[in-house]
This record gives sequence, structure tokens and C-alpha cells, in this order.
Amino acid sequence: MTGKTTACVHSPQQMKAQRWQALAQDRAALCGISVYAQIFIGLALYLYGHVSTPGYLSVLLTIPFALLLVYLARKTAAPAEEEAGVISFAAGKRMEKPVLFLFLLLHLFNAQLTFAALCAMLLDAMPEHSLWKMALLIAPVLAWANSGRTEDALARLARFLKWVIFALLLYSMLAAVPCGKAAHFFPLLGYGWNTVGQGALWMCGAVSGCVWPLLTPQNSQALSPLLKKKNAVTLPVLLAILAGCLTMLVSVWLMPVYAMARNETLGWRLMLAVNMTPSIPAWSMQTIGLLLLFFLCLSHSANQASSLAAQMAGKRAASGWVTMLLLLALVPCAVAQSPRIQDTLIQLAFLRGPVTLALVFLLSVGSAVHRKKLKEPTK
Amino acid sequence: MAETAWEPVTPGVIGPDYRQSLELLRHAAHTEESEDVTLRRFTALGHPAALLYVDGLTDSESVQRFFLEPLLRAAPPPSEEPLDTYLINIVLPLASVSPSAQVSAVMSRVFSGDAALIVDTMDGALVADMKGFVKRGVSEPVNESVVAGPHEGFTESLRDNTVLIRRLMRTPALVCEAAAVGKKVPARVCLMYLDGIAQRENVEEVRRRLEGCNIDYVSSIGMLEQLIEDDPFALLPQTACTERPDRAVSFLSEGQIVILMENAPAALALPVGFLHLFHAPDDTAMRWQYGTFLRLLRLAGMVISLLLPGLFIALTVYHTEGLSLSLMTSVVESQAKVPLSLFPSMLIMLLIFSLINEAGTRVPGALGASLSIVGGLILGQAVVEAELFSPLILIVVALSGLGSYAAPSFSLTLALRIGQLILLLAAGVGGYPGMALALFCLLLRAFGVTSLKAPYFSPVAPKRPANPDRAVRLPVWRQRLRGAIANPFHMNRVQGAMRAWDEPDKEKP
Repeated sequence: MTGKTTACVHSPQQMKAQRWQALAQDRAALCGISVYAQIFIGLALYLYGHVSTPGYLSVLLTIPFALLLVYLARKTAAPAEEEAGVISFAAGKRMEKPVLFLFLLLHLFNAQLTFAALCAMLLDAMPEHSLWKMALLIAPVLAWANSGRTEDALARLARFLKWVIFALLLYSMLAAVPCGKAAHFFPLLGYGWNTVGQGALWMCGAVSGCVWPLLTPQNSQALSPLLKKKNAVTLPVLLAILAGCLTMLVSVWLMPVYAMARNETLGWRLMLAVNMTPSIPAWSMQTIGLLLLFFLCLSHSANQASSLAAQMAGKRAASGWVTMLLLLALVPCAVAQSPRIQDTLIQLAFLRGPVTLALVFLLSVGSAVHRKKLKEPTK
Repeated sequence: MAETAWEPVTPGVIGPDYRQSLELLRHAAHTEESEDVTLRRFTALGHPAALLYVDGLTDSESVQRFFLEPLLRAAPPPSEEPLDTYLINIVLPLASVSPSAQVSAVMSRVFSGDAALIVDTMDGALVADMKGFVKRGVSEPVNESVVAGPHEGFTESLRDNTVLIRRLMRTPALVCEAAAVGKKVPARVCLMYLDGIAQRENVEEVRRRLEGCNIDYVSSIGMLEQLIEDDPFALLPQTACTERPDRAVSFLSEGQIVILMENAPAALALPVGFLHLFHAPDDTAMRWQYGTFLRLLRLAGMVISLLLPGLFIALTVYHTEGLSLSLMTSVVESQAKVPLSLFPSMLIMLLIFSLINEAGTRVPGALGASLSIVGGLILGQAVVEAELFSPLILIVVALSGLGSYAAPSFSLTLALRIGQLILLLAAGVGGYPGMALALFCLLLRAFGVTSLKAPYFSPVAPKRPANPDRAVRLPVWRQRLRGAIANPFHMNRVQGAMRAWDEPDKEKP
């Protein structure tokens, strides 16, 4: 019955701070949902040819890594200049472009994988339609939808859709649970650490790429609310990783079905749990939810990649044309759904691991050097 | 027509020279050409004088009683007192009379229903409020009927509308700023807000936008809405148009700004979000359980309206593997004798439904209801019996139509119908993937919309601390905060508990 008496007066400064906090939280939701999508795609793609890989352990290993990234972000202080690039602050001016390029690579890999997964689903859902035509239609439509003032819109949409998508996918997982057997779950725990390590590195790359906007917001004003609202910002990412673990768990539970699905298409594996839903409306909404998840993730990666490209070119805002060209460039590899291409994608995705390690090294060194420089005048 | 023909007034200043001033007024008011413009010449206080007014707009009886009679009977002023001061203070028994020298200002008031007096040797004219034109009385709003709550609606008179609002909100903090929109024929506009609650930034922004409307004439409040909204290309309305003074007052109390316009029986409120358009006027008049139930019902209706036709077509045309055998049999059997396939059938039926709706709106009252019955029931039954359309199509169209009517805002209903058609076309072309892509684009565009620079889906996305009055409405006494979208200067409605009598020892107001 008694309510809290919160902010009584709204001054312009308070309003501004609240807006930045809300934006930071929206972006965290978008990062979280992208992490989940990458884990989901990784599950379907990486298990191809590695049926008995206990991928969930790989995902669990990414949690300390995500915490390390968040820790690095928290340790970064806001720069003095209002519009100064945070990345140059964190890594140093000399290292700015290499770091931007490495992040760009991560986003390109993510975008390529998401587009490939999307095309695999399209091929499975609409086999009589030309995949080329569909992909060539999706690229400009997505670029158009993301053009203009929609950078924040995507983050807001992610915040709005995250519960809907997670609820739909969770429902599909729960519906799929009776199809699995507990006996298939436990023996897989101890499967080769080499594979688990590879998987973990693979997932770290995925997570690192997705949480980049949280680590280094383009506008320095966004950094302080990020630091103030640590829990609200880091929680969506950690929750997404846990949701990914849950997805893994259910998939391992469904291992016999996966085992049978060794030669099935990537789209079939992506839709495996959804296809086990008995209710027609639920199945329809889950399919649309999964497609929305991929559209969100693809838009996020493409926007980030074009934004990074713009930063490297010394521009403040990304061009819609660059985003469209980038999406169109991803079409050939996404449309070619042959096993060979899938193997290439796996190799590409695996490369994110070393790229991430290089990034962490550069950022840590840059951050340490900068902090040392900051301390010097006080002595 | 020459550009000058649109010039409403002749520039000039009314001075002490009676002949010159009279000529200026005659030329500006077109007294020779306009039959209803009256220029009455007479002698007052020993000087030649003239009274200008528009017959029908001005109350003739008041002119006779409060202007002509006192003037004709008045004694000349003492030599030291200026003529205009003498007339205002001694002779004319009027509450609202003021001097005005600019011909443009005098004309603006005369053609709004006031009367202007010029007297020889007097500097400027005296303009008195004597409006007496015919106007519609206060009646129940046609498009926003309610079960609970007041039944008064705005009229075409700007002053009556401001009075309706002031009567509901009796506080000096309610500011009513006058403005004009239209360069050639200015339309009077009122900007209302609660001082101390509404953000000054928002008020200044609205003022700036109204001043920046570079148009010759604004005929309706809908035109004004299009001139001042953030994104004219967005599908969703960015202002709330209401015919109800109680709803306008509710917006004001949340820190929003209300715009009233002359000859418009509605008010515009901004900034608004999706939730404002989704809320019905009588939600707050009901107990919270009933209000919440109705809102959830409305939300379900809107989702059904938007998605159902597209989902049905995608499922039955492209993704038949998702259908159960019984449903598949039913679809196939109902389609067997129908000449058109499912997608064009659905498209045509939705267009017919929209046509019936539009025709029902345009024809007069009772006939409109009959037309809806003829269109909806008889035509529907006939096309099924004639085996032109499948009964399943009719059921889906009827359900989605019902759902769209659940939206309390007419603009939102239309936006839903357009969105429904877009999703149907996308589903017809590309099944679920096409529909998902169209839905994603629609949602992304919707989440990019702002109203007076405030995000449209605030306080849900972005999340803001705000009134718990969203899809689910908490009890009134839990609604301690104002809506966040307008960034009200004071977020808290009151300090302390609203049901203070229930917790006398804990909190007191």
C-alpha cells in the first residue's frame, strides 16, 4: 500500500541522465539478445559433425570471460572531451584503428553467421522459393528499415521483444523436453576437453562481438550511466548466456534426435525444438519469433559493422548505403548452404576466438598504459 | 487570382483624421462589396463617428444597447481628458473594450465578431467584444463515447472549449496561451499547459513549431497535427486527438500540452505514446480490475486484428505442415467450390470490409447502421451461399475487423488496418518469413517514432520510472507518479500515501 516517493523534481540534467541510462539498458538488452542468437546459431552449426560435443560446457566457460569484459568496461573512466572516442581512450590513440578493425571483423563474422542461419531457415520453410531472391530482397529491406534514426529504435525493439522471444523459445524447449531422455545427458559431460576448449573459444568470440557496444559506447556521455547502472546493464547479457545454456541443455537432452539429424539441414536443426511444439498458434508464433531474433541480430551486427567502418574512416555516423552494401556482400556465402560452405563458416567462426584474445590484450595494455599516464601528474 | 487578393488586411494606422481612418476601414473591410459588413455612421459627442461590425457575427442588440445608445446620449468630454479614455471610463458600459490603432489588428477582431468605433480627433479605434454568432451547444462526443464518465464534448467555439477545460481544472496554474497559425488567414489557436508540471522545453518546442507553420490557411486541427508532428511519414499518430474535455484535462495533469483551435471540436495533446492511444477515456473512471480486464481484451483484439489474416494465409498457403489433419480437411473442403484461391479471397474480403466501414461512416446516422447490417450480414451470407468466398475467410475477416474496432483511437484503428494489409501482402508473397520481415520493419519503424522528441513506446522501451498505468492498470492509489513521456517537472502527484485514512500512523498527506 505504501509506495516509494521517488524523483520529485525533474531537472534537465536528471532527465538527460535518465535518458542515457535508459539507452544503456536498451543497448544491453540488444547485446543480450545478440549473444543468445549467436549461441543458438552456434549450437546448430557447431554441432554439425560434432554431434556429441557438450556445447553447454563451452557456454558456461564464457561466463567468466563475459565478466572479465564487463570488468574491463567498468574500470574505464569517462574521457574529458564530450565527444571523444571511448575506444581511443581505452586502447590509446595509436591502437585505435587496429582495435576498431578487429571489432569490425567480429561483427562481420557474426553477421555472416546470422545471415547463413537465416537463409538456412528460409530454405527449410520455403523450399519452393528461390533462396537467392529471398536473400537479395531481405538485404535492402533490412538496410532500409535500419536507415535514419533507428539506431536507438533497434535497441528499444530488442528490449521490447526480448521477453516475447525468450518466452516463445522457452515454451518450445519445454514442449520438446518429453522427447528427450535423461540417460543421454550425463555421459556427455566428460567428453574431450580439447573440443570443449575449442567450443569455449568459439563462444567467447561470439560474446565479445556482441557486447562490444557495452564496452565502448560511441558517445562518451553514455559511459557514465553504463558505469552507474552496472547490474541493470550486465544482467541482460548474463541472462542471455544462461538462456543459451538452457537451450544447450535442452538440445543435449534431445541428443538422440540430434544424432538422427546428423545429415539434416542447418535450418532443420535450428527449428528442431520449435517443430516439436504441438499447438499450431504456438508453432506459428515461435517460428516468427525465431525469425525476428535473427533479423534483430543481423541488423545489430550489420549496423555495428558499418558504424565501425565509418569510425575508421573518420566519420561520426554510418551511412545506410554502407549497411546495404555490407548486407548484400554477405548474401553469396549465406545463400550457399552446401556442407563445404558450412565447414568454412565454422572455421570463420572459430577465428573469432583468436581475434578476441588479441582484442583483450590490446585493450588491457592500452587501458593500463593510459591509467598510468593519468596517475603521473598527481605524483 | 492575384496574390494580393489573399491579403486579408490593408496595412495602415488609424489616426485622428476621421476621413482618412474611415477610408482605411472601408477599403480594408470591403464595405462596398460585402453585404454583411456594416459601417454605421453617426455623430457622437459632437464629432462624426463610425461603427464597423459584421452582421451575424456581432450581436446587434448589444451594439444598440451598449454602444450606440450610450454614445448618442453622452455629453462631450472635459477638455483636458483624451477622448478614448473618456469613452472607455465614462461612456461605454462594457467589460471588454480596448484601443487599437493598427488596421490589421482591428480587422482581425472585427471579423472575429467584435465591433470597432472610430471618432473624429480620437487617435486609433476602440474595439469591443460583442460576439454573437450562432454556434453549436455542448453535446456528447460522437467518436469517443463512454460507459462511465462525463458526456460533454468540445464544440467549434474556441472560447467554449477553453471554458470546458477550465471548469474541470480550476487552478491558476493552468495557462492558456494564444497563438495564431496561418500566414494569410490566421486561425486562432490556444496552447494549454499546467505551469510547474509541464516541462518548459516541451512548451517552447510546441510554440516554436506553431510559429514555424508556414501555410496560408489551416482549415482543420488534423491539418495542424500534420504540420507539427515529429515524423509525417510514420504510420502511427504522434498526437492524441480527443473530443473530450475530461481527457484533455487528464493529459494536462500528466504534464502534456493541449492545443485547441478555432472551429475544431477536438483538442490535440502531445507528447503522447502508444499507451495513450491504447487507453480509453473511461478506463480511469472504472474500478481498476474492470479497467485492466478491458485493456487486456483490447490489446488481444489489436494483436488479432494485426496478425490474424496474415497468419491464416501463411499457414494455409505455405506452411500446411503445421496444420492438423482436421483443420486441413476443413480448409480444403471449404475452398473446393470457391473460384478464388485463399490469398486473393482474403485480400478482397478485407477491402470489402473496409469499404462497408467507410460507406457506413459517410452516410447519415440511421442509414449508416442499416448499411452496415446490409453489408456485413446480408452480403456476407450471400457470398458464402453463392460459393464466392470460403466461410473460413469470412470468420477471419470478421474477427480481425472486430479486433480493429477495439482500438479506442480512430487513427490507431486506421494504422492497424494498414499494418494488417501490409502483413497480409507479405504473408501472401513470402509466408512466415515474409510476414516476419514485414513485422520486423513495421516494429522497427514504430520504435523509432518520437512524439515531441520523446520515444513513442516510453516508459516500456526505453524503460522509465512512471505511472503504473500501462496495459495493466494498478489501482488509482498506487498511481503515485505521473506518466514519463512528457517528462513532467514534478513526477510525484502527491507526497505520502493516497489512502492516508487507511494508514493514519504511517503516512499523512
